[in-house]
Amino acid sequence: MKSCFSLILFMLLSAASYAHVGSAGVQMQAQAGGYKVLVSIVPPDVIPGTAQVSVYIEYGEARKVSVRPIYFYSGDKGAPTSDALAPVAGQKGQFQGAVWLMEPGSSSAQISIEGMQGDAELIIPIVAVSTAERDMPKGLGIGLGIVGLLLFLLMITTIGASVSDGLLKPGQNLTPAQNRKRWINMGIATVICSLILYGGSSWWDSWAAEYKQWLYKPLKAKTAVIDTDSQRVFQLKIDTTNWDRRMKRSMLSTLVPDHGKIMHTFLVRTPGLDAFAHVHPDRKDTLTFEAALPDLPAGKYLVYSDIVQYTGFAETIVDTLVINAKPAAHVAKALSEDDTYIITDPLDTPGKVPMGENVVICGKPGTKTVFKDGSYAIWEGKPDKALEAGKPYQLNFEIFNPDNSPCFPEPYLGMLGHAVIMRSDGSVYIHLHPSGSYSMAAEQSFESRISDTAHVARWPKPDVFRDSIDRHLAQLKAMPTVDREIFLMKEMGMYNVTEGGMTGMEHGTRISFPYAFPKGGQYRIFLQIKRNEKVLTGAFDVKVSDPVTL
Amino acid sequence: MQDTVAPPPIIGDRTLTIQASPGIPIYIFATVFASFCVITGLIWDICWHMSIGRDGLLSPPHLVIYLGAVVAGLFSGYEILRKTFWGNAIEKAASVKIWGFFYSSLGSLFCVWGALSMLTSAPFDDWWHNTYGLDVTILSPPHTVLILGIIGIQFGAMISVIAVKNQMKLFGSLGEERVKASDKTLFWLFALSAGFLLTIWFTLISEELGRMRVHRSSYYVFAGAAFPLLLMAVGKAVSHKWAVTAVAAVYTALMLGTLWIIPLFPAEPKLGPILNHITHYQGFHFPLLLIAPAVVIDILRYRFAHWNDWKLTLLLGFAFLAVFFVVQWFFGGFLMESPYARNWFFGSHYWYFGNDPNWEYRYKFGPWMLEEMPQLLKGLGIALVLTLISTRIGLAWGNWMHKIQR
Repeated sequence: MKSCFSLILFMLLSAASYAHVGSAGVQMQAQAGGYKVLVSIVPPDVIPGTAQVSVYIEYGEARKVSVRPIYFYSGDKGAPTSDALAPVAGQKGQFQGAVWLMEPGSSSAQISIEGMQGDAELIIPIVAVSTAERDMPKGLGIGLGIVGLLLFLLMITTIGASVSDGLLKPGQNLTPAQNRKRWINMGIATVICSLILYGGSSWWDSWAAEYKQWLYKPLKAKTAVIDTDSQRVFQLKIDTTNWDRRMKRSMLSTLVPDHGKIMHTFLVRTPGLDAFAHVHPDRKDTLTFEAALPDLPAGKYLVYSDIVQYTGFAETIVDTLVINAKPAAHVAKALSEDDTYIITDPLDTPGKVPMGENVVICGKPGTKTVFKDGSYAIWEGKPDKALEAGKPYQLNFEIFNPDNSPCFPEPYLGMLGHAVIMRSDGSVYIHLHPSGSYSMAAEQSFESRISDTAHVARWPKPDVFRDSIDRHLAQLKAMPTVDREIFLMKEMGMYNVTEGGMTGMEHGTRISFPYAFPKGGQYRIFLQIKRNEKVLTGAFDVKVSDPVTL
Repeated sequence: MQDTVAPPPIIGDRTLTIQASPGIPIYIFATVFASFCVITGLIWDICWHMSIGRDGLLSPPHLVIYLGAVVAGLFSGYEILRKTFWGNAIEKAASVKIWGFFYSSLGSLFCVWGALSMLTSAPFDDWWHNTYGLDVTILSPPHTVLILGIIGIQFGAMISVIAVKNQMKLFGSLGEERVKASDKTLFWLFALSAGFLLTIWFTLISEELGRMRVHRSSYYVFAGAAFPLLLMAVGKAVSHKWAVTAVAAVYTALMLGTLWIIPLFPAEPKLGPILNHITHYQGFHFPLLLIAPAVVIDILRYRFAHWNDWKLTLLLGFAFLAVFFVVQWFFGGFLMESPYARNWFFGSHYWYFGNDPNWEYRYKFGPWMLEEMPQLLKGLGIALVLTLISTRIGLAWGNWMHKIQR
């Protein structure tokens, strides 16, 4: 039993939390030893490939910053020595470089800092998967085609010469018979070279097909609203069709809770992004997850569900769901205290929303955005200034009580706050946590793997593992809220027992999320905090422009 | 069939045309040097991938390979342009004419083709890496274009040398001594260029010829299909008693040289997962004992020089396989199992950084590395058939090389 518990603990520590859609970049703000650093990583979209790593030392004086990749599978012992990142010319405290990711799976970048404040290390999880399919650029295709044709003709000519005038003594000329032989041989050479080219092209095709097979395929699921006891329940069933080839049979049994929940689901009404819910479906069986459906207005919803493997491999399951108007006979099922929803104004018609319970007006940077209980948040920034894609930002939110006094939010699922960032078309989705938060959990996951000297990660027994996680979740659910929050904070290494409070992040009135928008467009940010034991959700709009390329 | 080891004497009716260009042209030395660069760079590159793992476009072994491409391409390309635009009538008369305009030697054409092919592979490979990932395999389509280019250069070097060597026979008026000295130099240049080609031949199929496979018939199927082709060809191409032995000796020396020198340098793996922690380069392979069948072939073809090519095929093909099988079978067993092979001389202890060094079968034949007797005999039968085919093609190829004049 004890070993079982330690196994669970180990698994819990492995939780990384940056599942996403269309937003592969990883940003992390953390305190590493005496340094305050912001790390931004752009993972490759083709594996094997190199991830671009940028480190900004915000506080401290670093002499040398280096990086090395550590795979969950092979751990510290199987990782290469680190490479120094190059200081960026003219930008004090900035370092850039690359880290090679050779195999798909759960990986990480370990960053070591040497400098005035001593030596420090931190670790950032990276999910290494191939997602890109590229065609050859036209110019390159034409260029290679021309050279290829030249090579083809030159080879045929050379073979022709080899059997004809190449054998003649100086000054001799070809006889008609020799000339005929030359043409015959060139004909044969053409056929053979064409066959070789055809073989090469088939080989290329099979290579492309092989690559396609290893391309990351997101998990698929069918979502539905089902009626049980005249109550509406959100249901998600994972679609396992064609799974054998991917050898993923046991993977759903080795999910681990992230912030105490096995699954985080976000429902957002499309196209206006004007209704939002954050629910936590429970696991009914390996494939089925269910949660009470909030009183969302009828419409078509994008559904994003985040799950995490015990290796730290985080995934988002995407589906669309049509929710009909609630039949009058239905009573609203009491939502779990951590589950919430809001209704806000549509993206294209700001300010136009009938007021009611759970309705909030969408804000902008620099303006006051009121939560439903009258408290409010101000997003630092200028209202009409577009942010730039690809650039790491600190999204800072200042929280106030209705009487304008500073508000210190309570922990919600062990965090000071949660944010969901979405692009208007749903092509970008990410579930973020304040600076240092998610990365600290992930850091510990990899730290426990690093301290494990096994060359190859041990794989748990799926059924035993799943049962132990289910028991743990049931225990967690039965705990009083305060105990649960303390447990979750401790688990993520953010609770200081002696001080009786949060560590690892500044527990103030300001919540920051480090993030780099992947591409330009209209974005909406849903910010979630907890005040007076109630989860509050606010919405903010921001325009992001594509970086100017010269 | 009148082809014999000693070619028929040249009738001296056209020697007058050659007098203007005595000696060995500089581009001959350059192409042989280029051939040396590409093969040495390639072996270094393989050791790099066994020991360090990751590289860039401009890694040191790549630079050595590119140096070979540039040297071969520039010297051969210049030679073609020079002959085309500034060449005198005699030089043009001793060249092949391409596309009705360019004048060139055959060897230069192959070298230019090889260099162009290698150049083409660079942007192709770059795109490939961005599209399908940074592969670390030897054989991918863009790498194949590169390797075909390398073979083109090495083949071109060999053909360039043999053409000049064949022309030497026409230098009657130069004086016995000078012709003899030049001929000797050309013979060694030829042995070098053919030996380098033999080495890449081996390198390409080296994954099939690892020491772990030495007790399987597939080993002899690959060796029988690949090596007689080239060994028989060089025996026919030049009139020298020990031609095949010399070429096999060049291969052996190059393999031993790289095996003994490269591991002297420090290297550490830069890619995970790392299971075998090393501090120095891992060497490539101890050479196959091709030198043994080469000596036997040289003795036999000298003794039976008057036989026609079909009879020679049977004799030489069978002799090659028999000698190679006996020698390599036992020597391969020694490399695999003997503690005396785990040192810098034999290099059996060299081990890829990503493989578990404590693997049970690192120095032991696993059950799947062995075959039942009937299976082995059947495989050897296939090997014999392929050896004979390879031998016959090799003899024909050698006859052709013997006739190259331009």
